[in-house]
Amino acid sequence: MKNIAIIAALAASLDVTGAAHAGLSTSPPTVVILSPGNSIASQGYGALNGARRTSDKTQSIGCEVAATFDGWKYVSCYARNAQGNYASCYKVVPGSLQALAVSAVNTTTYIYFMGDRSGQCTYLSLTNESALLSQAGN
Amino acid sequence: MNKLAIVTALITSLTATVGAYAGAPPLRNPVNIFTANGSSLASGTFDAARHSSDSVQYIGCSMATDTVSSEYVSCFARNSSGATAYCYSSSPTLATIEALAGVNRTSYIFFKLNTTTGKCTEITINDQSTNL
Repeated sequence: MKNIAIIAALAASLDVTGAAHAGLSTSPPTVVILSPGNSIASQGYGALNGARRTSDKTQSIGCEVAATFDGWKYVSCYARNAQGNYASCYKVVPGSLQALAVSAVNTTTYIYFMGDRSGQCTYLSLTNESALLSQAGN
Repeated sequence: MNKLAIVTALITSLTATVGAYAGAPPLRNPVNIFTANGSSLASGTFDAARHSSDSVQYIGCSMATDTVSSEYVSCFARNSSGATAYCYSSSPTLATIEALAGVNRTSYIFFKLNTTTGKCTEITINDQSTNL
């Protein structure tokens, strides 16, 4: 429980740090591929507005949730940075928070995820914040 | 089917009428933070915070999970004077999670916290046209 609180605080501080720099909506995706032997294989984070409004045509970030009528649920998140590096993770039969959080992704969302070597998400955070709106308000 | 068509036409005409009057004006609720008697209250709309003349205000909420068992939610705000408020819960109810999942650019957020523990004691999310 403490770990998730620490990571959540870290994710929040990344977000707030971005907001404090008056660019407010500039949080392009950052993809980190960690070295072998690390229990966390990859992580990605960034804001939808930041990704959409970069000058390159490479960066993107997002999540998806899928469900079948027999109760099977699936969520995944991905990010691609300016260099074209790609990270993603997925989780089958996620908890209620995961499915709801992913379904809540919109123009105000900042995404942070971590995945292990099997590709499964080990951490997922979604923050919806006013500072992530574009100046035009979308 | 005829009744459905009539009702649909009625709703459409009502919508068109409201559209002609440009809708109710925005409420423009900036970020407010108030502290008293061991509690803090914070509130504000996304739109008013983002488009305030200062570059200080913000408000938002976050959800996090280790994808196994732990779930963590938090809300945070900063007003035009730089005062901040932050609360968290490591045991959010499904209702809280559902409320936070609805946060978007039309949202007005209100949260209350215990200043001793830092834990959220109430979170309200309101989404309506006058928040834009």
